[in-house]
Amino acid sequence: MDHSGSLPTGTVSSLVARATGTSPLACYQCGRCAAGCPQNVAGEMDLSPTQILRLLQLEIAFATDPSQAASLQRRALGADTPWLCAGCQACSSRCPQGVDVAGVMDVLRQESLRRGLYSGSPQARSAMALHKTFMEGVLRRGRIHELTLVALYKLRTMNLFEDALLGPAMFLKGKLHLLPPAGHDTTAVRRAVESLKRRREEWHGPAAGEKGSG
Amino acid sequence: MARIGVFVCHCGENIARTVDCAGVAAASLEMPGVATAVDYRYLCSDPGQALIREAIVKVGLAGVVIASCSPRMHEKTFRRAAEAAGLNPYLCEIANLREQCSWVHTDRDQATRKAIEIVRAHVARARYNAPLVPVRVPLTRRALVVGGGIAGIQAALDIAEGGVEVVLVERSPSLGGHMAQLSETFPTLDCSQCILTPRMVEAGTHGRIRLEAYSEVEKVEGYVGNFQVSIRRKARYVDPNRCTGCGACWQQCPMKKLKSVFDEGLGKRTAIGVPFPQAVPNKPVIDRENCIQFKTKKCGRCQKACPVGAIDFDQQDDLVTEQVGAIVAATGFQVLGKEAFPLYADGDHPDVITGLQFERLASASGPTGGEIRRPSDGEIPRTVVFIQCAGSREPALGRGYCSKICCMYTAKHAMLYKHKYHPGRPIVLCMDVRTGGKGYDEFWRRATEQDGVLYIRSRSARVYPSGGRLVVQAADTLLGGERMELEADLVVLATAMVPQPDARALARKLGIGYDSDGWYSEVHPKLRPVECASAGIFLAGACQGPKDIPETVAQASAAASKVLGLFAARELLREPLVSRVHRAPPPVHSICGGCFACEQVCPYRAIEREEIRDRKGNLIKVVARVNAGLCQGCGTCVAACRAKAIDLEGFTDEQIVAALGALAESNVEPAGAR
Amino acid sequence: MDTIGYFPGCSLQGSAFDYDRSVRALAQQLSIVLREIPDWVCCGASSAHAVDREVALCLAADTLAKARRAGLDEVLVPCAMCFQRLAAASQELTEHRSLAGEIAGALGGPADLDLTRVKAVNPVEWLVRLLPGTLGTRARRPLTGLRVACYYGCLLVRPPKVTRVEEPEAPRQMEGILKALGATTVRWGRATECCGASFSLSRKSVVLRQGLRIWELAVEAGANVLCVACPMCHANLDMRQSEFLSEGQEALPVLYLTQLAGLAAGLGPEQLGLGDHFVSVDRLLSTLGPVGRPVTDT
Ligand SMILES: Cc1cc2nc3c(=O)[nH]c(=O)nc-3n(C[C@H](O)[C@H](O)[C@H](O)COP(=O)(O)OP(=O)(O)OC[C@H]3O[C@@H](n4cnc5c(N)ncnc54)[C@H](O)[C@@H]3O)c2cc1C
Ligand code: SF4
Ligand code: SF4
Repeated sequence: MDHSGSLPTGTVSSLVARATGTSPLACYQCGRCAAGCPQNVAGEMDLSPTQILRLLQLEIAFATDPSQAASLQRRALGADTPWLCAGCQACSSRCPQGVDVAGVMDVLRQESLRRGLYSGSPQARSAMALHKTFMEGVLRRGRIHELTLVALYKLRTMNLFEDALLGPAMFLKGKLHLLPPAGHDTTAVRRAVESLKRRREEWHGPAAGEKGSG
Repeated sequence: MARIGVFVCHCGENIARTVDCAGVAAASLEMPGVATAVDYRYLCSDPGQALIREAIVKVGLAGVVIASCSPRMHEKTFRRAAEAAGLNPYLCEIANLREQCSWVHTDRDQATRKAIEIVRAHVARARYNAPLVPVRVPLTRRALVVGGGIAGIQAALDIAEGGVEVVLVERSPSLGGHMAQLSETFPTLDCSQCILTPRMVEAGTHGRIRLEAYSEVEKVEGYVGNFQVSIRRKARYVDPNRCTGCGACWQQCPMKKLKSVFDEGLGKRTAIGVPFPQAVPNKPVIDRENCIQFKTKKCGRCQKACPVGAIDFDQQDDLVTEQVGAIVAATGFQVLGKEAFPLYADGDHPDVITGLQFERLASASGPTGGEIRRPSDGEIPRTVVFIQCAGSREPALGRGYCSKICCMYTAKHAMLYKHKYHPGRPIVLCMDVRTGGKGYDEFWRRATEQDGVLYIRSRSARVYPSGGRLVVQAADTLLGGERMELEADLVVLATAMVPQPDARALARKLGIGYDSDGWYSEVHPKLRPVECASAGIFLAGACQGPKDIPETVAQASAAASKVLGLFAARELLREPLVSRVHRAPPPVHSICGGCFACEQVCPYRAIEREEIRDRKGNLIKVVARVNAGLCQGCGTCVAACRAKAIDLEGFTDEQIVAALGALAESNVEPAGAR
Repeated sequence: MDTIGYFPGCSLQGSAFDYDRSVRALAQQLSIVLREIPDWVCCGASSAHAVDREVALCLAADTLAKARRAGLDEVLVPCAMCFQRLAAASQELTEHRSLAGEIAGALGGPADLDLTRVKAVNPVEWLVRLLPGTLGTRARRPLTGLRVACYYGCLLVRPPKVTRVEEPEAPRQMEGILKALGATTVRWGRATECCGASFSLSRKSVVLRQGLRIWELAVEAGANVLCVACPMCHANLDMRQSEFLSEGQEALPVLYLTQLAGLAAGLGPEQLGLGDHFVSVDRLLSTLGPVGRPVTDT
């Protein structure tokens, strides 16, 4: 069922519904996403995907109570779970109710960054550091040079020695190229991103939550 | 000028919430021909009807317009009230202010204006309403029951006991349906065969039941009270009159390794045989697809073995026509097979079975003699995981409904397993346990409290084989989604109940409706649960939606009593809303030109040819005539008639033009005026 | 000669150069011209959509635009991640056509640039299509002796509406190809389980854990080779295998689908980049017969 139109503005849930096309209310808490999520099964996540959906449902129910809603948002956006999601989409493709759980994780990451609510835990930090390093690299040079990515990421996380032995082996196998390839122009991409962001704001108003979050 | 009364119903809050009913009544008073207009909270109630009756008498009304709910709901009620006050019931008109107005609008002003327009149109047509008299049609007091599961058996027996002859058509070689496959039945755990087979025998031998097993309905014509049904008796290749059911033939059949349909593929059968030993009729059928004689002409061992010469390889299908006055559809359901679930061990692992297969394992007459043994190697499983809602409540797989019976039969399965194998560990994965019903909740509590069945609130994400066992991925949602990788030896899927694959095709033959899932539709889910919208056709059992045996039997008896009630009348009265061909005194006789375009388009074959002759018997012309018994009042002929010689009673051109005229003339504000 | 667009993506220019080599060699062997998209940029991988959905969409759209400008309708994308990103972008743009027009404009046009016309094709689909044709007729070395566990991972199959896979829980396309080329395939339970690739840098324990889970069931099912069609899966299962296996656990060679198909098509190990694997493939290669008669009857 598509209930995406009717969610209270300012909620994370309304952003979820807009980005994924399904409302968190569609979830009937069956636990299938949690059962098949490799990261949840391994006990990595602090909240299971099912629990994340439940928090969003509560957020909708308590949207008119700003302090309740804010605290629920803090729990959902501050969870490590989205940062530990492997993006494998097992959840989304199996959900009997058609909830795009992996898409929910995307929204939570983006929103937690935007609202500055992301968990400061080491695992969230390292995942975020990688994404940031990667994105900066892509937008600057157009392509990813693995060695540069690794080096910058390791600098960012100050985790200089993990995998130190793999590098030389890869190099010997011809799998590491020392010199980055020539840069590729990404101005067109950046221009398109800006125009797309502007367009989406016109459609939906400024990204919700800016007013609603605590 | 007609004296018309307008009665506006609030329907409690249903209409009054969005429509200003008093305002509508006031506006109605201004309409031409309206003599009185009032509003009232519940017109369908006793005082409400009294109000209408009184007004008819006191004001001397010549017609009434009831502005209320849909005519499907209360047209009959209000027409009866009008009749009680001496008005012809067809002079009572219903204006639908609920389904078509208050329920679909939110703006009170707009809804009120629309309500006034609806009333205005109905008042206009009411001025042209003519008194009509119901059509009388003769009645054949015989019934057809389609489907010989417990629903069909029960309905047939009840009708026959009521003194009416029944033709019982069963598609498969034997009566029994799914109930014959069950082991023990919830909530009492009595043996299914023990309670069913006596009923099967009774139905098979009853003096007023003609059993047509291994037969199908080919075509249905006619209408309530007068159906002609052609039935195809499929060739059994065995002469049922000679056959004594001794079984010599199937003992000789060399094709011994075929998968038994009755045992859901877990047992074996031969190419000739009865589906199960207690079959009714106890006469074998040859499975042509797998018979060597049919393939290569090099066998015929059954023919040689038969002591009475009943085997006839040249037998052909045979069509018979039956006249009946009422039909009961009791065609049941199917369950999804495991191949619908790639998620669960790719949908083809031998040790992932359906609930129906489990019934066969648990049945004393089943392939394992009632022991729970897993199909792959015949071992007794130490852990069995039961997965509920397999394919039910799963909109992503196209099915949103609950199959209703699986919670109960899964509890039953878990108990039976535990009773049969004490050290066994039954685990049930469920989303919730739905056990409404007498003694039902107590039943599943017994499963958990006494038999120690573990219920985990979770859907499974995946089942895959590993180390000779099956791993069932689940999560304990009551612990927030904590991982559960369960190792099982057997996995039982409570697969969804689904309509028969040919349910829609049969519905089209019978002319009855079905919902988006394919379950047959009743007229009203609460008040008319066993009647179809097509008069004279009734529903029994799981063909109408998932049901257990008690509900199925109750509905079957209800359908039977409806049939007997219908047959209690001497003849049938039908709504006079039928087409009529124009007739006039000589020399015109009729403006019908005799082109018979109407005959071409009529879906009910209700157009007949009438020869008009002079006194000496010379043919003057041939014109169309409508058989009022067959006509369903669809109006197709009216549209096709170029001479405008046909009109539909109750919906004459005059009435429709008047209604449209009223709408067109009315003071509609231009769009966007507000 | 058939022509198809080619999007190698960043990995194939780096650590997965062997994959790139095998795709190019196989295409050449099957007389197919690969036309690399001029000046392509990164697909955004798992990071873009994780933190910024507009960037994710525009990066992929840029590649689609460049393909269209080069007159291409179909692009072969060997990397499963790139494939999924490009396919997801076309899906999103097809669902929102006005958006497609707008982005096409912002990317510099031209006016009639139709981003929804470009279809990303993965090697599995590509070879399924070639099997009745050139691949079938030119295969000269049956893959007998190989008992392959086909590993699909995530991105080739999920989400099914993007990947066009009918049966995401039990895909069988790779099996179909390899069986036709003479190999035996095994049935196993973790063909679509995630390998944890997105954590290979940030949380190595995840990759090692998932790698071991995958190895376990493949070996239990009797496989002597794992077949993959994704550079990340390959890196995690091949490069890291010695890390997740303990003493006494036998190594399992991990080959790209295009390498196996290339072997069947008569190409040599060096041409297919097989010399650069971490888990040795020598023993596996020795079980293969010589190049000879056609292996399929097509
Ligand atoms: C695994 C399982 C366990 C169950 N356990 C229990 C239990 O313990 N207790 C309980 O109360 N209920 C139980 N049920 C439910 C029970 O089986 C049904 O309520 C009951 O069978 C419904 O009867 P029916 O006659 O409506 O349908 P069916 O049993 O399906 O019978 C329909 C009959 O119609 C015939 N037919 C179909 N189409 C045509 C056609 N076109 N022309 C002619 N004939 C046709 C079929 O061949 C069949 O004989 C269980 C069901 C399942 C699946
Ligand atoms: S699988 Fe879907 S319905 Fe079930 S808990 Fe997860 S999101 Fe909710
Ligand atoms: S996409 Fe993320 S949340 Fe979903 S199953 Fe994979 S790892 Fe878990």
